[in-house]
Amino acid sequence: MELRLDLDDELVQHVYSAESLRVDAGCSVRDVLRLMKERDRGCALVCRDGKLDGIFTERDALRLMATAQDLDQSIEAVMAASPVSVRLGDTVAQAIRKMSEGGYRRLPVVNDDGEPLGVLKASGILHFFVEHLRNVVYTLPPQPHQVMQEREGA
Amino acid sequence: MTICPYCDHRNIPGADVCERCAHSLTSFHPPTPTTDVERSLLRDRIRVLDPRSPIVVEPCTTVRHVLRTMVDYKIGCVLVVRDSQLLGIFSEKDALRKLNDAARELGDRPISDFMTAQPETLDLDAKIAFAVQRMDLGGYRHIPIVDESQHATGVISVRDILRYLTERMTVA
Repeated sequence: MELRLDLDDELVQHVYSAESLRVDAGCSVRDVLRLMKERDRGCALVCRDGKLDGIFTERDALRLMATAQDLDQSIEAVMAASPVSVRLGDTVAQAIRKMSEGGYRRLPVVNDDGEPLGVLKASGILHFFVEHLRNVVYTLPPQPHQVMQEREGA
Repeated sequence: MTICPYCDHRNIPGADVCERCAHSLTSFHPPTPTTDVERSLLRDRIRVLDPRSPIVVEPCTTVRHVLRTMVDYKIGCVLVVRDSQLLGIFSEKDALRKLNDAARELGDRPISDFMTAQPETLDLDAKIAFAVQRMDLGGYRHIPIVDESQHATGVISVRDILRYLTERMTVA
């Protein structure tokens, strides 16, 4: 039997996560870093007047940490402005293409007015695939090779 | 000889659990693949993903140096290794959670203070289904690949898995 998902029929609205961290463009980098940690988010959607203005990801955070930059500057100075985004009605195929072309692991989801609705994550797409593979994936033993360990950062 | 249905490890006759993957050999209900992609997941090994070589650092390497390395090599994680034994992994997520706004002050500290110790690993002969399960249920973004001597030989990422699945699950 064949299992083929037609990703040109599957929509972003069924795969994205509405739980996202939204911050104001005037927020300090330090506040955003702390919020990302507290809320356990890999990115922050930076907004101005309720509209998406930029995105700041773990990757951007790493770069700032590596270069010991001033954390009291505003997030808009270091965010990626006008990020590549998707809409609820876009197809998963289009989203995957945008991700792999740009090397992004997260895409902001916006409505027609440019207001942020959430984030489409690579891990969300993986989970969407796995939902169709429950048969083999969820029946595997929980610990294949060795004792359980902290999962924290891996 | 009892061959484990999950990892194909050859166990001594009468063994109750697989010596390698700890799966029960007595009362298992083997997964029944019903589609081509499910069969692929239980047939193909991590090897087919062609894992990229890891960037490794010593446990005493400073936080500052590790952060630089991750930026310079454009990578999301480094493996922490001593005498070629894998001790831990340090990722972007560790940086955000454990260094955060104190990264500058912590710059001279050894990375071993902040790594995730004893990460879950897979070997090149593990079935891809395991990697998919670990990434989805475990929430891992990177999994180190080790050989029989626990030497780190590679890393696979959620993107490698997504690419594999996209190629097999989607209409061409």
